[in-house]
Amino acid sequence: MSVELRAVRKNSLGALEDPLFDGLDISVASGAHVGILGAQKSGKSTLLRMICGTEPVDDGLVERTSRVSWPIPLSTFLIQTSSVAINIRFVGRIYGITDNEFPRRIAELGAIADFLNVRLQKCPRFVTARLAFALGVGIDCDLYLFDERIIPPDKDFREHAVKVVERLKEQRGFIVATKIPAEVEAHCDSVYVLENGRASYFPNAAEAVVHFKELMKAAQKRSSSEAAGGPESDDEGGVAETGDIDMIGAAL
Amino acid sequence: MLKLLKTQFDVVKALALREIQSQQANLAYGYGWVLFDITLSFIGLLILKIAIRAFNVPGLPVITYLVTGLIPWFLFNSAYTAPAAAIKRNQRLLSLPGVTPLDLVLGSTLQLLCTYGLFFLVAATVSSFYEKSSFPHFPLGVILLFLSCWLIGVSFGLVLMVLTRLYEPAGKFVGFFMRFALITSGVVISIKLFPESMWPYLAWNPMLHVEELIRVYWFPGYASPIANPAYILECVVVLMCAGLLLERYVRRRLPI
Repeated sequence: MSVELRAVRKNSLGALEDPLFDGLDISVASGAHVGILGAQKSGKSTLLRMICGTEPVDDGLVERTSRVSWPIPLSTFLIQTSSVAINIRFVGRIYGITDNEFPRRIAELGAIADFLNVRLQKCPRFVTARLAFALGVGIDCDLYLFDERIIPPDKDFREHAVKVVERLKEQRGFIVATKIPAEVEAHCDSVYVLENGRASYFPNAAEAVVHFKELMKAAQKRSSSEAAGGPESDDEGGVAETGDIDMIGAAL
Repeated sequence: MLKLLKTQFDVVKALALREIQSQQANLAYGYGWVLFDITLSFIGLLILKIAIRAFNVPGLPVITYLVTGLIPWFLFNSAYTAPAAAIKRNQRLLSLPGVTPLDLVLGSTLQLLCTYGLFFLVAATVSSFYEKSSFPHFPLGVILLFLSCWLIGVSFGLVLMVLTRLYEPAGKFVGFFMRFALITSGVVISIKLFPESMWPYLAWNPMLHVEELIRVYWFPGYASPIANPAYILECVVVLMCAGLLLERYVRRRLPI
């Protein structure tokens, strides 16, 4: 087993709200390609952070028996005033990589070799996104975590990224947490669907997608009937909730 | 266990190098500021010592005496304020697996140790040559005492960081307390110049022991009536255990 979450509880930030997760059980075997489908604000990103160990759990157990990446494409740790090479070297050093060729390898992986010695703040926007992707997949891990998408939405980089991910898929396992069913259908063997703070397991991605779509439709119905009949339909919370469902609808 | 230590060593080394590259690269806020800060305080205290000759210890060179007291004090002073600032400044790095708040503290304070260590070496050598005074007769002792300034500072900083998170005004009390501690830590005024009746109370301050012992190991003729290496060691161990335990407690109970 690569990662196992047992009876995990994670409280919401608001003390009076229901917990984000309660009795959550997830296990990911080494080399498995697992999807986590969840609506917006269902705690997908929090779950990925709990899996990689940067977010503490309030109760339960998270067991990691292999090296897990951070949620890709996280880029908050990059220093804008430093060059691309210095940023790569810094992350490499954190994980004990002192190889002089490491920055060049990562730059080639992200197709940003021309910007290696340019300060990140002076680089075009796509460089940060590509660097975040390349650093994530370029550090040797047993399990890679992807937040929302596996392939970056950069058109010019897409073809290159697909090749990188295909190579990665052959050798390593990954988890992708997303609200986009097409993402798990394309890349995952098995899927967990997040609902009411727990995760339901589906050994087949197609079944999981059908279940998730039904859940979303039910949530949308509930929300529209509340909006039509409820006096609180004009308040801010109601509007935001409908907006969330609409976005999920678009993604479906 | 060894693998875990190696991992933490890699992380701390990377963070210390990053601090040097990013923060110290900017002269106005890095080395330049440290040099300016030390020089300004040094000139101020030197004027004070020359003006009030009563502060001088007979037979000891004034400038070297100040250098050997002031730079270790600055190291302690910067190290105890560093933990909270390092975590606040580098909070975004905590999103990388394997990086903990303690690593950020160690990385930042390690850079301080290197910076002040370098300044101490240069300033003490120059002042010793200038005043034709002796070099330390027990250099290892001076190095260990310099390291204990750093350890006391970091450990005290961890304790203080937790206290200010639990009760914010705690930091303000410490600011007041430190101004008093600068006078009574032997940085400028030797313990011998204080009334003997005050010695037992002043001797509670571990930094006074450190400052006095540095002079004992540096100047062959200097003898301190209170300096006790065992007390420094006890303070380092107790403060370090308290700091690490409290940091651990806060990390679990009050996540950033």
